[in-house]
Amino acid sequence: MGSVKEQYSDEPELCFTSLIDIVFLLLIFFMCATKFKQTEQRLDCFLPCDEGQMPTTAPLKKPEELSIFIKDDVNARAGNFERRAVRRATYYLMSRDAQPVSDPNQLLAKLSQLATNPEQQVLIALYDEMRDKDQLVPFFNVVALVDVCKMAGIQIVKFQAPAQTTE
Amino acid sequence: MAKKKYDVTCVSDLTPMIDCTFLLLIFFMCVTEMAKVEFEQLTLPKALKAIEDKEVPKDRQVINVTYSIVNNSEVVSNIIVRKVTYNEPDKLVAFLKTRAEKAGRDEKGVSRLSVKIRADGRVAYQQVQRVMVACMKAGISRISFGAEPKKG
Repeated sequence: MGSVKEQYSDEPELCFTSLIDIVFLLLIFFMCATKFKQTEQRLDCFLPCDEGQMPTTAPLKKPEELSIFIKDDVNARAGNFERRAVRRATYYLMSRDAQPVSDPNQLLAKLSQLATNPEQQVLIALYDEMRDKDQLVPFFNVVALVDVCKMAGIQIVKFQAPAQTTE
Repeated sequence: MAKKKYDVTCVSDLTPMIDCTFLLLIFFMCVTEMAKVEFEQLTLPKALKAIEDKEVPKDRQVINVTYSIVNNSEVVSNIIVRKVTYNEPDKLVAFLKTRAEKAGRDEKGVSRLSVKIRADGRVAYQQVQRVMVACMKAGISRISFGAEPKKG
């Protein structure tokens, strides 16, 4: 009679197979469908919606607004575009007839003096001669200029639209 | 001599494997984030004063400006929004206007929509200007540039 107990084992057994299957599926999903967190950041700027079509020859509207013109060294263009993009020098002019500045530290020193005014704004535009040419100023030079403005403590950086966009 | 009976049943202990698998799973769940459809692979320009992009504004549109070299010499630059190419200015303006209308405008009439321009550092500024002009035409004033942190 006691043999009945021996036939049925009362110990519960866990079946891990399906659990492992699901866990592996989840693992593979996360490994394939995800990527590591980006360290990307951002630089905030403004577009002057109401004055963006203003030609660069127009007088500055506000006394606290400073135009910086980006001028590309056309003569330094040689080789393929890839090389040009890296080698070409870009100059920044703080007014139309000012001496060009190519050293970011020099520009930073000049802008830092102006940044004592908390309402100081900077308007970035392409130099006149550049607007008529192919405008191949590499974008990282523009970002470098925005960065210098921020380093100098100027928070409001605006951009001027090219004149030919006037509707 | 009677043969001894040995139990030859092979039992594998799965516990450490499950432990490791769970640890890996938790690691991937914590350390990674979902691949964003709106972010193209680019070489972003570097900036010292760029700020963390943790708090993404509710109404923000990301526009990518890509750079690639075809046939060893020809430079190709595309304006891409969520995998869709918007190289025609009118098409981009129409798209941004629709987005700006959805986002609404503040009391000054400026659109609440902000645009993040993720442009490759090697792209000609002219191409980025096209995006900026389209933003202006759509009445968008707030923009930002994607940048990588620069150490120094």
